Amino acid sequence: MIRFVLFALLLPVSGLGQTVLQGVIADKSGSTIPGVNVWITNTYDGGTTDPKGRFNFTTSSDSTLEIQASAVGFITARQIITRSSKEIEITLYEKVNELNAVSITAGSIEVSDKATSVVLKPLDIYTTAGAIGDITGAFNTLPGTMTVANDGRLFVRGGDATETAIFFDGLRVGNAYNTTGANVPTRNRFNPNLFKGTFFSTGGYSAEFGDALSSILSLESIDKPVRNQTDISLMSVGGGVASTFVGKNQSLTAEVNVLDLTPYQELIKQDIDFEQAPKGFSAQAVYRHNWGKDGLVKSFLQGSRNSLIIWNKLPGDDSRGQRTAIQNDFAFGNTSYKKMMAEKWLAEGGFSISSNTDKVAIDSNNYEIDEQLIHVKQKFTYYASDALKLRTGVELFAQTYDERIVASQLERGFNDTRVSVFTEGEYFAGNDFTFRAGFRSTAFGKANLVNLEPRLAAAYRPYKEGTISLAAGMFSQTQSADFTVLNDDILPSQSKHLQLSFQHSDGNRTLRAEGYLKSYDRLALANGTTDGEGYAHGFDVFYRDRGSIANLDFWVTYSFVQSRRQFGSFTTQVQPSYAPAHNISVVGKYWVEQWKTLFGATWAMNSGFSYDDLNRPGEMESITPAFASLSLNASYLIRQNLILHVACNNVLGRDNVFGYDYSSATDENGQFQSISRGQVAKRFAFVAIFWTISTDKKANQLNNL
Amino acid sequence: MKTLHTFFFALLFATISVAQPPAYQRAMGEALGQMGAAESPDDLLAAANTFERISAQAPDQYLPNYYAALSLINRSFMLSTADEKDQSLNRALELVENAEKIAPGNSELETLRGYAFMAKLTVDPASRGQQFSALTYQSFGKAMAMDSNNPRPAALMARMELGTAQYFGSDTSKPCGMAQKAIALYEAEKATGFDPSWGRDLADQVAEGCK
Repeated sequence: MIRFVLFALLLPVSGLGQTVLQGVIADKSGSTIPGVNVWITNTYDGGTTDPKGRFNFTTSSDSTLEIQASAVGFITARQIITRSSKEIEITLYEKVNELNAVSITAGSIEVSDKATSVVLKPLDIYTTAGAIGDITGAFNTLPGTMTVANDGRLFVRGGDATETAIFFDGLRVGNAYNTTGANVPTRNRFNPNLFKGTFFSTGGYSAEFGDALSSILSLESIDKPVRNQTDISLMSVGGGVASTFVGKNQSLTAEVNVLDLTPYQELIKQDIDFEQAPKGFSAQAVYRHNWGKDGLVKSFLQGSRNSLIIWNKLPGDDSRGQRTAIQNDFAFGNTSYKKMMAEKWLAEGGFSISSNTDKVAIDSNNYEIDEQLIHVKQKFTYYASDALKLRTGVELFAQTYDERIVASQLERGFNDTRVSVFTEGEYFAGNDFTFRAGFRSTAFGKANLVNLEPRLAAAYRPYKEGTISLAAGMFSQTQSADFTVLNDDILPSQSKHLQLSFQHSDGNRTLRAEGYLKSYDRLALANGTTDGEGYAHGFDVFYRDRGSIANLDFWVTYSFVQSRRQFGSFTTQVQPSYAPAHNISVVGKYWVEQWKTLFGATWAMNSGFSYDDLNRPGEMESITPAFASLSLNASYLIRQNLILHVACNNVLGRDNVFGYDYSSATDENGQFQSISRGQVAKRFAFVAIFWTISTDKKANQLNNL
Repeated sequence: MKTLHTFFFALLFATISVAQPPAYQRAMGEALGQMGAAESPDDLLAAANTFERISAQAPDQYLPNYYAALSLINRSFMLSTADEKDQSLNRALELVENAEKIAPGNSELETLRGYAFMAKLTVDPASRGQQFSALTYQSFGKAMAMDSNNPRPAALMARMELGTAQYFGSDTSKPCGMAQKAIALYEAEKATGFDPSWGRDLADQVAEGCK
């Protein structure tokens, strides 16, 4: 009986004759592929290819068989063979889709945790010395940016700060920076902890984005926080509390922050004469709700008030100078959604409202400026196939601006409405070629103009780690309020970009080099026309290395730009003050395991800012001495949830000059008196404690976090 | 006597042949042997492939996907580059999801998900620490709630918490207690057939580290 049972058990194995099947699996170029799963359909018989792409296994199946081969990233292949096949050769074809395809790197810098090889990670914003947790501060160490340390905003490739449009979940933010006084650098209004990723483009961007001559900074907020937690920050300049509540289908984050530099300035003497140190508070909340299985709705609301009072010395005058008091009230709200509407249709959209009020008192003159911007956007993406993606959308911008002299009740302003449509296709011709082509058309209400802006880009992968890409396009931007308030049908300014980029990225090391040509047209002039023209040509090089030296992560950026333009009251094309020719950033982060401390250092320098020396002939003919600043920081991980952070900017105390202001009339010697635009202080020191308390009941039971 | 043996054997055979065909039994036995003997990432990929082939033949069984995922997670620790590790772990997480369609609410699968998150965390602790430590603890917590007798989530959680506690020089009593609890659960565990039974060595290591 036992024998019989055993025999029955063994029957399928030994009952029929066995055949050894062997062969090789290769891709279309003939390179063999290891790790491929090869098997006979509807059987357990199979094997895996060895490092040389070879397989062999035995089968007891019938004479005609279907063999299958599958591997991650390849289309599963099926082939009919016979048992007598001596050597089986199977070719696997790579899956062509967005994930595998080469991406267009020209001008684009992605900040995310998606891949380890990204240029910058969200955490880098906190750990980059010199940035002090400011998003813009960290981006100022990236290629294509100019270091304008007395301003604090992003200046990209010879353009002014307004040429970089800032988006929050795809929706435009008006007045994304806090209003400050002259030479007091501003900060981005948004806390980096809100965002899971950032897309930064220094040119040649997609048709989806408009009203920006030079650059895009698109911030993507966190979709799904992982747990309930409260974050507390205690800083030498203020503090804040943020709490996140996570439900099954929804989550809420609420945050309040207070900033007051008064104690700090009492302790450390400042070079700028503050009557009232910068102070302010902000409150914000994000609410996220799932929409069905694959949809999400997010709402964000922020309100803030900031103020300061400074005295600026006037050239040729020994008094305390001119008093400027600024109070800024800002509110921003947006609601955005994304949802798969049908199998291949992704719908995204939403609206944002920005409202900004500045109350400015210069000596005894009071001014008030009110600005509002509404942005409504709807976008559809159609995944026609794995190789083709089509995107189309429509946007509405409504802007109002109003400025008043309080005493006289003199008032002026404007309002404007613009509607844009965009369409773009992205085609992956195999995984090594990607093409993107589209256009954007905007109807400018007051200017009574409809424009058409083509955008083109392509990328090619010459070898596994390399990318060559090209991007070109036409861009436009409405004129600044200073000009529009005088002439509300003024035409928008225009730019054209052409850039060629090479990137090599092998996981731990990234090398990027990019050259570009940018031309400007229709820049507003003080004479009321838009006859200003200009250009910015240059190249930038970036190298980041996370792997060559243990525990050291560093990057080096060199950006060269030659920028000349006629704008404002200039009568010729000049080098703008915010476009130093040579810009270098060296950022290093070193982790010392036994001290549980991350040390950071940033060295930033440029070749000096151009300025107009009234005592010399010509316009913007002079250049300040080179700018240089070394900043250090250290983050000590006291516990898993408690971090002590110390930082010092410009530790060497270098006296940087950003330009000069001149007296309006000459003195007895026929000279204009000048006064330098310097730093707020020689150094800035910062101490903070960041404490995270998990309030997740489940997590609390299980760990002490 | 002989008849009795024969009877039991026949009964066993009958049970197996009704529930799971002998080919599945044999294939699983061989594949588990292949996984156990694996010494390199290539060996573990081959084992994972074998389990995936079995899964195609036994679409009502969650264990082939389970072991394929386990092989890929263990493989990730042997790989050198972050991209390779992530690729292996992403595939493992897909397999866990596939298995959950067959066996929803399974504590072993939730444990494996937590284990994959733990592996993802170790790829880049500085950047991923905050997000993935929360996800890992959540999965282990869920797995324990699904089956309080499952020793594996307790052992893995004890391993992770002990590492953290030792690193920061904080109190180790909780992970040590958890390791003891895991050991007791391993003692009581009666693994049948191909049910997961691994991880005892991990709990012992943690207990050893607590001394």
